[in-house]
Amino acid sequence: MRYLLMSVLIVWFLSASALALRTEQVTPQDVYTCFRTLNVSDLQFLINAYDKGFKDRRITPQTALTLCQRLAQSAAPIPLREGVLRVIGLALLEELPVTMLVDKALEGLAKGVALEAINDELVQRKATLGEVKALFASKGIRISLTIRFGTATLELTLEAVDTAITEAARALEDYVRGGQKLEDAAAIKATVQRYLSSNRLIPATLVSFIDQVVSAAEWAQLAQNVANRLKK
Amino acid sequence: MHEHELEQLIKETVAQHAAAYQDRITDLEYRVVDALPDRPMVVEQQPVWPMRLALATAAILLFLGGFWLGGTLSDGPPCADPYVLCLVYPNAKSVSLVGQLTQWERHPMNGPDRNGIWWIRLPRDLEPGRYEYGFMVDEYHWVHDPRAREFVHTFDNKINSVLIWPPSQGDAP
Repeated sequence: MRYLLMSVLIVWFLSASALALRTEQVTPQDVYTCFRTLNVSDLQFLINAYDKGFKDRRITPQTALTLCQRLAQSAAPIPLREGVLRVIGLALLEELPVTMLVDKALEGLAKGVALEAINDELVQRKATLGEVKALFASKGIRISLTIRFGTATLELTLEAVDTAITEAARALEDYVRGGQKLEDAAAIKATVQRYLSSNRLIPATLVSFIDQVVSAAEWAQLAQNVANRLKK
Repeated sequence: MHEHELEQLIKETVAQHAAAYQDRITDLEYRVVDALPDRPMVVEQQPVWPMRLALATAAILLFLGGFWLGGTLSDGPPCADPYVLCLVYPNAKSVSLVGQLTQWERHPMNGPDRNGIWWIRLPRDLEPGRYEYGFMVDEYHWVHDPRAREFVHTFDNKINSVLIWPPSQGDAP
């Protein structure tokens, strides 16, 4: 009898713990509720975009909620706050990685940067992400691609491809914003490769493959595009 | 009667009386002790707990004093530790670490020590990678880490420091 009672108590305790953990997890509904509190003008667009992002696993509800809550704390007009969510939503619809965009939005908010500037920043970086993704696609670098490089074989995951796109775009942005020479294609390529190598989510085989198939001139062209956007 | 005769008379009289009571005088002290009622031996004992309390207090004070002394005499925060970020800013009232490490939330730093050094310990389970960060001094003043290995220009024309983890040998964190 005593053992039975103890078993019941243990099962009850485990069930309660699991329920508590489950209830603490952020759901897409939590995110949409936060969107509503911002009084955004096009709620349905945001729901559609972020829903795709959650399904594609390009953004987690927790990350989206954190962003929404930080925006809710901002004193900026609603259209500007919605603009940040909208740019990221557009990126999700275009199946671009949004890690860098969310990161930059949070950085700007933490530093008290004007939301107009944050929005401009996100638009520029989103363009860079799109160009890198297109460049990779032109080289056959996409999800589920099986790379046979030397003796190694690798099937690319969404995480690997998205992270590679993000790091390459970040490298180009940092290179140009750092005021370094745009005509030094070798240096641009070396910077991109260094960023790719430093992220453990990108398999070394993919880094080597990119090094082989993307030329310095192609990276230099993308860097020039970044510079052109920054001049505007 | 002469004086010496009187003295002799007294001695004899005393001797006679002493002889008469000899049996009562012999072993008188032993008999007195034997006649006393049995009582437990009472030893005056000092209470033990105040002594223990005093010892425990002294030990705690020594322990805390050691910490304080160690902190005072040491060379300051462990800035040589790669898991520790430091910033020398003697005049700051508050310094926070802000960056990708903290999801751009402000994490208050410890300090300042007597040399004006602020410091914060990085999580032990930090994943390898590149992390942009900086220090927010007195709530609004963005300061980069002069000990960082790399820097990037960020969109608000300020500089972010870059932490490359794990650090190469000989690198500052």
